[in-house]
Amino acid sequence: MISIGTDIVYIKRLEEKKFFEKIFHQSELRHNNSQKLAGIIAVKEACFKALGVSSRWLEIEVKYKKSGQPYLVFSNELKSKIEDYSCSISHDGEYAVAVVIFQLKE
Amino acid sequence: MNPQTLKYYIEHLINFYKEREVIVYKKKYHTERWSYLDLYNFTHKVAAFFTVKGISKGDKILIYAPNRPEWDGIFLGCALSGVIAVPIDFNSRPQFASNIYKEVEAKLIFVSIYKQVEGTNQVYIEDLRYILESIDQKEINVHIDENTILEIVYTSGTTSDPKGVIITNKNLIRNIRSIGKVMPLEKNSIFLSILPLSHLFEQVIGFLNCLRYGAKIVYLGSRKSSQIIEALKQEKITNILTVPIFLALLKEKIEARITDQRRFTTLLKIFKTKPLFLKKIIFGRIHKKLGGHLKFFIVGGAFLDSKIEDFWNSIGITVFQGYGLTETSPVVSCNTPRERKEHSAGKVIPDVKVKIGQDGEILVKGPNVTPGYYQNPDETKKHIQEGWLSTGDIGVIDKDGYLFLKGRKKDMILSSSGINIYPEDIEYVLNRIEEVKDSCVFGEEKEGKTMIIAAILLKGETNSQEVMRKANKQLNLSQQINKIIAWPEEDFPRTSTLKIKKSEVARRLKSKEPIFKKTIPKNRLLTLLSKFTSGSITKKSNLMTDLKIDSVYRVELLAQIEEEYDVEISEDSINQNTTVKDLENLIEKATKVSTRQDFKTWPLNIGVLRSFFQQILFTALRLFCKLEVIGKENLVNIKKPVIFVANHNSHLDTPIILKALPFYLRKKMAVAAAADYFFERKFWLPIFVRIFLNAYPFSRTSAIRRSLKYSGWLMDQGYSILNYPEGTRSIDGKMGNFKIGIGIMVKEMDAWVVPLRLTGTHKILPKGRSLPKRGKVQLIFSEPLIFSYKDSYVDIARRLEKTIKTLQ
Repeated sequence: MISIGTDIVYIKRLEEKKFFEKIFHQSELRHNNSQKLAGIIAVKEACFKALGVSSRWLEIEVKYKKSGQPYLVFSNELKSKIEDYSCSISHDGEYAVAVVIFQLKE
Repeated sequence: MNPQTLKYYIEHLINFYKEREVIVYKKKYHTERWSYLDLYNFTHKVAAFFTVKGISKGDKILIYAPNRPEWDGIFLGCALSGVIAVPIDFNSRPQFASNIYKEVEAKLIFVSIYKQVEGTNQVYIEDLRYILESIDQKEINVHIDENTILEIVYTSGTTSDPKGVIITNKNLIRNIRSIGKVMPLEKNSIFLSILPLSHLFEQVIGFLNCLRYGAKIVYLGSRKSSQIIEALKQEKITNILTVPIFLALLKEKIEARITDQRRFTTLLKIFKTKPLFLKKIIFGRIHKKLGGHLKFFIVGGAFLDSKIEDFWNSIGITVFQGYGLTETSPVVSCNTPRERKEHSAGKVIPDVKVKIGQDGEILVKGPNVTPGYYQNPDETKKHIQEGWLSTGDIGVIDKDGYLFLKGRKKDMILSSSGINIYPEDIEYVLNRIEEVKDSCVFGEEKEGKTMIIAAILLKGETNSQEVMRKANKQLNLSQQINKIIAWPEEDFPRTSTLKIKKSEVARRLKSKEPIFKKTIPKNRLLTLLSKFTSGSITKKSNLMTDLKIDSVYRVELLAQIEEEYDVEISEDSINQNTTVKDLENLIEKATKVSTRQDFKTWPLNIGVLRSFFQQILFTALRLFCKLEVIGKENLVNIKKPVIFVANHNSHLDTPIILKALPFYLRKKMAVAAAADYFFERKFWLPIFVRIFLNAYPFSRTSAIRRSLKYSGWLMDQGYSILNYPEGTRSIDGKMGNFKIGIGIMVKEMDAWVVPLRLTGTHKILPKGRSLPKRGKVQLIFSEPLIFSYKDSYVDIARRLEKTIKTLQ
């Protein structure tokens, strides 16, 4: 079974918020700017929608390949539901958007 | 080595206080303790790090991070290598740090992961310790003398353009020496640090001066008042360095809890002059609430209301007020145990000269006065003439030599008739009025006349005109308030040391800028919610659809609820249907749970008794269980508390693991046991598991912060922890998924992990069965895993699951 999720985030919301540690891993925070962080939120939210789970922010870690392409590392629990996945993040001006598609395990 | 340098100071000190604890850093879940030697080594490594990075004497680096031991180490490292430190208040905006970085042409900036500065050469202070691991300490052969610049401190935002104050080694060391002549600290002083280290007041009095006496400093990872109260008790704090508003707030909190106000006020009056030991008895409960060891406050930075000073002195916690500025490194005068005068700023300290100039301005001269402002000869000339610094403060010195502050020269209002009016005097009168929480008075020119305008924060629903009338009755003719405005926001704009930004208040009132007018709702939760949405909020409002609180705002909302109510609400409990009323119920429920689950710290150390019971248990085990242990040699290197992680099949798992452990590890073991299963059902079960297994409740259902906190406390006490990440027993012996919680625990505790695998227990006493069958059990200990600071919670949880799954 396949499942898809998407999300859009207004980048300006992310300047200097105190609760970052609940949403982002330390490795994700090292990516300086609000733009990238907005993209990370978008892709995580997209996953939660596609998987039909609540927002378990710290159960997904967003990493980047040398090429700049993002890839996702899932917690044990989430991974057990996923056969395969693919994701994509984009920004333009004030918004960041992401889409994820999963092939779920039976 | 020149003795008038911080370098000499550091090298000299360390020979006295090697193993003594210097810094206690209370992090989210556990506590870090640094000895003088630890700090010394770290400092030297920082100096070596600078060399490696090509940063040398005269180069500037910024420190834009919260108070923590590494901050101290970086600063001292600069002192050793002649690198100039530029501390930036962590509360200021990243843009400010970026501007300063460019202005001083800094080579590097130490930042926090949570607040980065784009376009700079950053080093994360959270990573520093690990980065330094691979750097060797080297000999530092840099010539430092008394005139070598130590740091450039940018003054706070009450003025328009912050100026960089140059502080040399001489400035600081001489100031410390002068203070030491009149106010030596007790050797066992323990300071709680709440002001930012970027401020000289905290830096010199709350850090550098403490080192001289072998005192201890406690840094907090969070500013929550619950953390402060906890630290006061746990670390037995004796002194706090603070600003007047903190004392005012604390006083308010205490008074709010007093049932018989009249009796209390009477007691305060009677015991004001009585000996200390009596005060401690009469006001015993207050002392206890503040940890029981608090001796005195050191206060500076703003005008201290005499009423507040009296309050604390009456209770038995002495307030020592002092005066100084960044430009004077920083102390000019202070009250001391021997020479104290109420409501004064104390006597001028030795080696410092003070004279009162025209207008009554305080002028200072001495070795502690800055050579000037960074790359700003005009300002330097303007403020320092023939060695005398114009402080911008107005004051008088009485016949006994005590300095009294009247106000800021800048804030002074020149009345139409040419009289000097100090807004502080008017604010003083206003603040005494019952309904007034705080006030801000300034002058305004209107058609050639000077108007005195007061902005006030009202406590409840009061007529501000009434307040003005009351105040004017007590004020002189020249001080009469012409116009009064109730400030519509919850608070005035303030600096990070909580001084009111007067110019900002005046500007906004003048420009008639639409200030966010809020009708403050009576309900605490509604007030909190109103920060997220400007529309109307009712109990029936749906969080998602009506208030537009989406998943990201939800995280922020829950974080604020956590801070406000000190409870944890997990994200899972909120969905598309949750209304404000539902949220209220959740908070209520969580509050009940947390008060129930206040972990009574049981005598964990019932060592001998527990061993005895455990031996009985182990003997019983032997009847039906043949145990084979592999890999015990992996436990040899364990010197600090570790986290044992195992797969879970049966209730027998814990006793078997305990049996297999060598005694020296077993006696300092605590087991995380499901709170809902073991501690909330049968009455005898909690007692049983506590005694036999030293188990403690670990929440499986609601948010885990409290459980993590207790786990951290246990590890601080030297206990290793056993944890089953699956969260439940597997039925068929096949391993389930390791929950993310174990990743969080391991990373936050910064501990080694010993993975172990148990096979066979699901056949002996599986889930659901009450009587054991005979059988064989195999227990494999793997070698300890040490995770890198780069590993995330997800990495850790996954790697642990994989390791144990593949243990053969």
